[in-house]
Amino acid sequence: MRWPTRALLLLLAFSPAVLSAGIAARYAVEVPIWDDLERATLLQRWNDGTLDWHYVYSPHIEHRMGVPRLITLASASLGDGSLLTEQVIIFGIVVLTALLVHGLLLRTFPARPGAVYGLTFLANVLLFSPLQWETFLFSIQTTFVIPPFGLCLVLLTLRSRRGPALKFALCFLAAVLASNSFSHGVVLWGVVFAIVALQRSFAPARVRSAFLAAWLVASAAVLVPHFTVDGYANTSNFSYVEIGERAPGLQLRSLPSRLPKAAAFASAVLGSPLARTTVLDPRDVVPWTATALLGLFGAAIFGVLRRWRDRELWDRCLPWLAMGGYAAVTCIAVGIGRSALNKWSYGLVPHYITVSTYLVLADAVLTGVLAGDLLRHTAWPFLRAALPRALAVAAGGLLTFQALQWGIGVAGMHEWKSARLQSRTDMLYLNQFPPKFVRRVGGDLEEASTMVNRLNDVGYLVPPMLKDTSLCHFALADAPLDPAEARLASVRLTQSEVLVSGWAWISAAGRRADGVLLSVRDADGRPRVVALVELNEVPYTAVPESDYRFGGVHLPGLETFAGFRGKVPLARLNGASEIRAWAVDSERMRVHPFAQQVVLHANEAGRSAELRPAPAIGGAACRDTHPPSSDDDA
Amino acid sequence: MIRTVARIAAALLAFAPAAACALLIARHAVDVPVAGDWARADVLAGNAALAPTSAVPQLVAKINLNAFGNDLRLEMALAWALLLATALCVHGLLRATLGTRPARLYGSTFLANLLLFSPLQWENLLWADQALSLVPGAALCASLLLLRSGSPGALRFAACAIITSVASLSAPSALALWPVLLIAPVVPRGGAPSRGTRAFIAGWTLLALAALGLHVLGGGLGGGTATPRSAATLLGAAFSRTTLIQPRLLAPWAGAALALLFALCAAWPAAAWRSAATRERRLPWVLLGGYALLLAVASPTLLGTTGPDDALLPRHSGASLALCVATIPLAILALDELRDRLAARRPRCADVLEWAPAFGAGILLVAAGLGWLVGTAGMAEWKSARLQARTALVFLDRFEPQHSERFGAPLAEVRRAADTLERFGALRPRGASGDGLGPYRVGTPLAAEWGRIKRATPTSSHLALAGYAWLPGPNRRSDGVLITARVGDGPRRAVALAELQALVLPPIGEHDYIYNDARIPGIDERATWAASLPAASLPAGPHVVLEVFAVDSEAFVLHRIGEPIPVHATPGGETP
Repeated sequence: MRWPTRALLLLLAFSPAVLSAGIAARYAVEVPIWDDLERATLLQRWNDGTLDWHYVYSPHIEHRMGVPRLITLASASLGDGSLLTEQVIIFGIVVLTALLVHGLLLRTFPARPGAVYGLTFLANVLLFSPLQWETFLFSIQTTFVIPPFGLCLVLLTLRSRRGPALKFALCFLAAVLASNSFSHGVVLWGVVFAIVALQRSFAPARVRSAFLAAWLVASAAVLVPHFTVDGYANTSNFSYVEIGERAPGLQLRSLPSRLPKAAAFASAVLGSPLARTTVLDPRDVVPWTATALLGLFGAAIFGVLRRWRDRELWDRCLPWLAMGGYAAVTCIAVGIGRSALNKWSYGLVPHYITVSTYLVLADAVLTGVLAGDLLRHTAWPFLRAALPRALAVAAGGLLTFQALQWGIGVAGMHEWKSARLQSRTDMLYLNQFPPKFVRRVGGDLEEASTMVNRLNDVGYLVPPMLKDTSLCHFALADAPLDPAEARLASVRLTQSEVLVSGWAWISAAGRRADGVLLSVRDADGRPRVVALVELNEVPYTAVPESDYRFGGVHLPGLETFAGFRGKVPLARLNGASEIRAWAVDSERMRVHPFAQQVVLHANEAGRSAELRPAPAIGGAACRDTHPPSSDDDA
Repeated sequence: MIRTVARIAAALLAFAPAAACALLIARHAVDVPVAGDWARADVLAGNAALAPTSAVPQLVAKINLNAFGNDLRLEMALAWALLLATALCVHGLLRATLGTRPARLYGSTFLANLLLFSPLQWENLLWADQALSLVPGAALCASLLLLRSGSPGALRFAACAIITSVASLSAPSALALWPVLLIAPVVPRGGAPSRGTRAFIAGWTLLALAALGLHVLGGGLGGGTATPRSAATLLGAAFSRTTLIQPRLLAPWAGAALALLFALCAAWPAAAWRSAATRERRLPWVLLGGYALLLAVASPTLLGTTGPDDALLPRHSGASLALCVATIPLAILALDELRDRLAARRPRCADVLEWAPAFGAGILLVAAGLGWLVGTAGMAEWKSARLQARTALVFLDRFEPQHSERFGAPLAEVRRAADTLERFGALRPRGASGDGLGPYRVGTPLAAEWGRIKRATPTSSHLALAGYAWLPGPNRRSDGVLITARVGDGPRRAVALAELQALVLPPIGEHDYIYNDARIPGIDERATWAASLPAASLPAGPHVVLEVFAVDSEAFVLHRIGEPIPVHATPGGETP
């Protein structure tokens, strides 16, 4: 094949990576949440000069995450420590993994460019699927993408023609990187041993034995400390277990009692890459997809074993059997570990797809290899005619289904970005207005508050927390939002509070507001925020009105997808009688006024509140005043 | 022998979608009138004059009323039978145009059936009034098959004329058949038309004008043509509901893409049209697709649509599905042509094209398969709405319906029609008499997780109750909530009926949003109800107990929600 054709095919095969990069770039935001906040302690120790290897090596639940921690430190010391840098690194690692998969395909299908480029395209559709939005947009997920990278590096290395010493070195490096990124990587030690033991063309028996012996020693040298140092007890704040405790999933004595749950959890992880449609509950679908994927893998193992004597076929299939085996074993281990902590459907969380998608890929490639072998050897004309067509039907179907999955993934990214920007608004005012929906930031308010403040103190929270409640930290838009998109729907007065509800959508940003601020004017005329109202939204789903013409149903609108309910203590108003509402765009650090405001009345009959059209205010409210004292970048 | 068995198995598999569709109809069909169904009360009362433009539907309704007591499910079965007739004709056309290679023939038949029987058109399948809107499609396919047969010309003309005339008396959309079928006898042979052809054209034109005149004089036609957007929306309707994008945004693009693909496959390569054999193979599908395009362009006249949103109604999905059915064989024929051309010059490309139809089939299989899932969900919602309407109908004389839009007609008209139908025994079940429970019996209480009374707020004159109710067995929201009162151990009296106002949302997996702290609506939001009981409606007595029941109007069972509520008489009124 000539190089321009090859280059064009390569470009086409990697086009999903380009598309995925564009999508991820659109939805990436610099907002640390949950495990991301662990970096606060790391960076504080780094700043204080108290960081030691002991801390870097310490477990996060049952994971040793030294490599991701070093990446964070490198990003902070060589650059600005931005979370976006780590998201780029995550994407870069997946690109490297995809290149390794392509290399592996070149060795699996020599002189079959159609199969190589077709399957590379499919692999990239799977590996770069936005369905893994939590992997691409959550900076801590460097932990998740390094083990599969290590796996593919190992598989390609062991298929290469390099000498045993170099193979050992590369495999050792890959396994150390992987097992010090996440506990999934521990599986790699067994994978390497199994491949070397089973690969026919590996090396003469003496070399193979020496390699295996050395590998056992190396494994013990790495894994014994892995499971024993510091009692293998958790040191992280944002985990399911307290600091100093061991992960309950490691207590295998309790496994028999939770075996059904562990199996359901593992099947949720395994079946997750194919479980999402727009109308079925993934919890109902996932047992079927998991069974199908595992069944196909089992059939592939059976097919390969039937042709055990064919050395070449065996060696071609072995890496993919190892890949599928790695995915299956890891998913089962996740099921065993996490079933002690979460309900089984937690296995469907999108970041686990980063593991189980390798089973889909292994199934696809093994099907291709074995179908090709069957075609070469069968004497049955019907099979010769039907099999390639069946494969073509399956390829068309899988790619179409993946297109739908990409769509669902993009919607998931959209929701993720909206939630993160709401987290940002929460964090800006974390010290003034404790958030109601604290799980957008972390597990509990006290811990989240400590960590966010710590990150803010070491200068890695962007934008930094606001030091006062002046609204002028934001740019104030002049024009009010369209009342159809942002509306105060009701106001009610109690003895001590003003209760408001409504909805807020910022069409210019293409998403719900990142929060609603309620403000009053101080004596000097400056708007002061008296409450942060968080949105209590349902994730957006298209519901066509036309389908329910005689249904008498309630079709969700913005009140569902962008609704809020909040309250202002009367004590905070300092006697002000007008409360303005502002929809926050925390990506641009801008607020948009609502077209209505709350007006409070006090007379002989008592106090009351009503909604009235709001006069224009806009940026003029802050122009005549000095900039606020905070060091924000508004 | 093996070949015959294999062929039979392949044919059975190819028609499996028909069987699946029949099962879905059987599962979701409910004998409750909606919208146009109420008009048959006038037919029964003898008040309706025979409208020539809908003579066949009226006739069918009359037969059903007189012979089967107006069992609307029979007309739903008729809709399925019409689809089966269409599918058999399509299979015949595929056999005539694609050849008899089993994989190609039965594969394309399977795909066509997957589209034709798609539950995406649930309104056509579960709404008696719409059943005969499927006649024109069946008539077109039957006529195209007849025109290819070897029967004498006059016989073919007569058969087609009868079929198309019956279709024209069934639905206005059949008017599009006349110009479409006029082309059929002219094109294949080419050259100057023969005497027989000229006679066909003349006769056909006269009949077409008569049919048009009948519809114009009957006043059943809307005016105008569709905008490009609403025409494209209609053509893309069937392929726009399987993503998370609003169908009204996606459908025009899907429709335009499908129309473009159809045009490409029909016209390319232009040189192929010079061959009479090619023309003969492609023509039926071009005409079927042309019919769909004509429906889209003239949808305000032929289908009564009023804009893009109207074009998305499930009952109008037929045009979109028909265009796709027509595109399948055209794509196969165009790929054949392309492969033949490339075979000598670029054999590797030709080899790749060998698998292209199978690859395309995989794409269509998933697209249509997902459509089936959406359609099945639509059927379930339709059934739920009809059963809620049934509950309201049973208690129509006692309680004012809260959601009369489920009847699809003004309430006064519904009351009048229901009275008439009930008088003639053509409405099942009969309305509840007095303050009894009507046809319902009391079953097992509902488990707390499926139904709850969330609020019971007394005022001086009313008692407001609110909660949610889901029926776990049939897995749908309750068909209403009936509130009864009893004094001591006396009989239960129905005192209020709450209808459900359900938030309709597809399942939202909470696992996808654990870091978002998003609100995931549970059944408490998807199956809410609220009722307000006037204190005066409660029986007088010292030991009055209220019970709240979730209604199952399919099995006619009441399931108690929560515990009975004792009502205490106070000087200010009743208090629970």
